[in-house]
Amino acid sequence: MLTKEEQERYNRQILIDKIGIEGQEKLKKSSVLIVGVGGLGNPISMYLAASGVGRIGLIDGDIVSLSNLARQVLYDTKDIGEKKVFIAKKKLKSLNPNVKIDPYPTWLDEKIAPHIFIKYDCIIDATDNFETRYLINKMAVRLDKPLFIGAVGRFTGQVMDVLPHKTACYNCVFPEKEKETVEFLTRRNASMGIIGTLVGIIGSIVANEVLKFILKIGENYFNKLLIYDALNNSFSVLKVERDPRCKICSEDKIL
Amino acid sequence: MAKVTVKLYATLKEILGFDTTYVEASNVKEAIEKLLKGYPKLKYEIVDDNLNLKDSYIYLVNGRNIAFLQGENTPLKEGDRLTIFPPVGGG
Repeated sequence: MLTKEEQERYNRQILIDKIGIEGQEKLKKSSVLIVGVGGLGNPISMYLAASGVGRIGLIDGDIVSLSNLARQVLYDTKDIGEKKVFIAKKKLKSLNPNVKIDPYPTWLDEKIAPHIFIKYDCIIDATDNFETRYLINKMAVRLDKPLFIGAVGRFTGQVMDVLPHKTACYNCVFPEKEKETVEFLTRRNASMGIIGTLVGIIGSIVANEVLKFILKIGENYFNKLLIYDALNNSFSVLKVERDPRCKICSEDKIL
Repeated sequence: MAKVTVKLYATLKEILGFDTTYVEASNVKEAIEKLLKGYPKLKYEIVDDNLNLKDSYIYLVNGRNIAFLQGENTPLKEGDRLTIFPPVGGG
């Protein structure tokens, strides 16, 4: 049930025939986990909190630093040195006190991932390195959690959604190479830079994918990969396929 | 030989200034060779000194990664689409 305050707060969403009170209640009952509360995790968490998603988990072991502020718009200059998840929780609660925020001030690893993932309806990959992306994908597939992936570098953004065992997973499209290559890709990405606005665009798209999925409206980027080019503002949607030889999602489901 | 559409994204598109081209080739290796002949500027991006495909790019044939097909020997037929782009991983 929505309170009177909630009905007014979400009025513009409730007015949409495809959402209504019923859709808004679905959002309230839903829970999402955001891995990474940096450039992408900021707009994703802000839009999901503002839209009325009931419970949002935030995992990030990082602290706010000066070079974050050109794109991580949830943080202020005075937040430098503070743990991102706690600052994010404070800001998001101030934006929408109805939303429950669970902060996890830690880096994701194979041991803790299942314990945290299991508590949420869906998982969002907003992290900044390939090692964690492969871990998130593996855990989401293993626990059968819908996964929404956003990634950025320079002027390029990539988005794809995964329904484990039904649609292409991250590893189907970006198969994990040997350790050295994965490390090289992470280093290359960290040094290529990011235009600040790109995370706003891609983060908003990821948040929109999650909302549509929860509301069961429209179409998602399942078996699709969006490549966004900020230099000429072009959106290319590639069809991709689940691969029967993928070592991650062709495994049997383990509960 | 088959006429194949080649789509190039991100840095490759930045280098060339466009994202779509066509080659006649019977497998991925041949398609890459033709692509490099036509656009030598791509050479140091997608292949190493021994002309091996670099690990740091994604090669899809009709939406499937060639790593799960037959690598650079993956056959191409008329109308196939070869897509090449670097993964981005930042957040």
